[in-house]
Amino acid sequence: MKKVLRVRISEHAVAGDSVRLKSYGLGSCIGLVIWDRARKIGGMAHILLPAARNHSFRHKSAKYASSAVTVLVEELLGRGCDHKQLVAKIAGGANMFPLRFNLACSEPGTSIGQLNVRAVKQALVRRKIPLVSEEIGGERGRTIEFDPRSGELFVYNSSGEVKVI
Amino acid sequence: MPVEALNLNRAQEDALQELCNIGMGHATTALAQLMGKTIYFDIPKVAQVPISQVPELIGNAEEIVVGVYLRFSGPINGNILLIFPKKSMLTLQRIMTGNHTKELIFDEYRTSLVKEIGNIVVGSYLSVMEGLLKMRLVHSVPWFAFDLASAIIDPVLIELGKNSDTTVVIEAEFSVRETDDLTGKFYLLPDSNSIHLMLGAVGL
Repeated sequence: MKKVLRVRISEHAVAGDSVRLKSYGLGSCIGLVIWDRARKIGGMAHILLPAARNHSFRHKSAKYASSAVTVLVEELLGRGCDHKQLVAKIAGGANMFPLRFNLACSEPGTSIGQLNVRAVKQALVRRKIPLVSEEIGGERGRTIEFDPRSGELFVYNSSGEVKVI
Repeated sequence: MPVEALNLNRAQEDALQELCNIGMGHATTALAQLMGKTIYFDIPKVAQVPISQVPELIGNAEEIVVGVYLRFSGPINGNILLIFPKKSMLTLQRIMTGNHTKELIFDEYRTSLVKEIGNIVVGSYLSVMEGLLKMRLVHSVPWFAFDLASAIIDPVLIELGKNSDTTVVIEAEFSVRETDDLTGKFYLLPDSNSIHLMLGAVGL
């Protein structure tokens, strides 16, 4: 059995091929994985919100989409990863209460899950990291597990089905 | 700016616990009348925790539960979540509908039944708060989910996470003792800037 490292909300972790990274119960949160295909080193972030409300406040954590991408990329580069080898995968961004019309959102017709997805995608484009696969949206929670050796991201939905992306 | 850790003192924690205690007394009485059963509840627990630790507080990360979520607003704002384990929900459906089923079914009728329980519990809870805190409070419609506990709590944490990295969780477990399996949990998570208003209203 490989060691499994749990990544909680607002947290991130980077691991080599002897450890698996896992985030439980992603609802509208996003599980972001950035992986160096050549070195088999990957990082996972459990993102809660699209962006800090107060932009002057620099929150260096995985809590927000934009800072999560930065934190993961910097840590991967710090461990000798090559920016050109980095690819990203995302899961989550569901709308847990479908009939709940946007109390949490400034934008009508959009769920916080969708806003999270959009923010992560924009942050990845800014850092020039290709998004190679995704399992997002819907109305169900997900648990994810990433294997840095193979680059496989296992996405378990709450009905017990698993998808490998 | 994000609000820093609240660092409630003992008297403040006790006050929040007592507010919840009184509220739960009324809420469970209303629920007992609805169900025709005696309902017990444990002394509420008050915890100040980082938002990242809330899912573990709510329950097993891989357990599928029934959740009813309501937001309340007024001079103070916050979130109330009711969580029922699957087994308890089966018992609850049996008591309320008289149907014995082994599988949990959430058709429109059963879903609205669960939501209505949320309405009744939260409505009576908040009416007590209104009296004690001397303020008007309104609550949203109830939202229903049948999913991983940690995924259900996500929208609440998003709400709280906008202003803070930590939160206060007030938890009370209630149960019907005469049946084998009916327990539920009541969670009150006030918005971070509402805690001091709540305490201020009771002179702390």
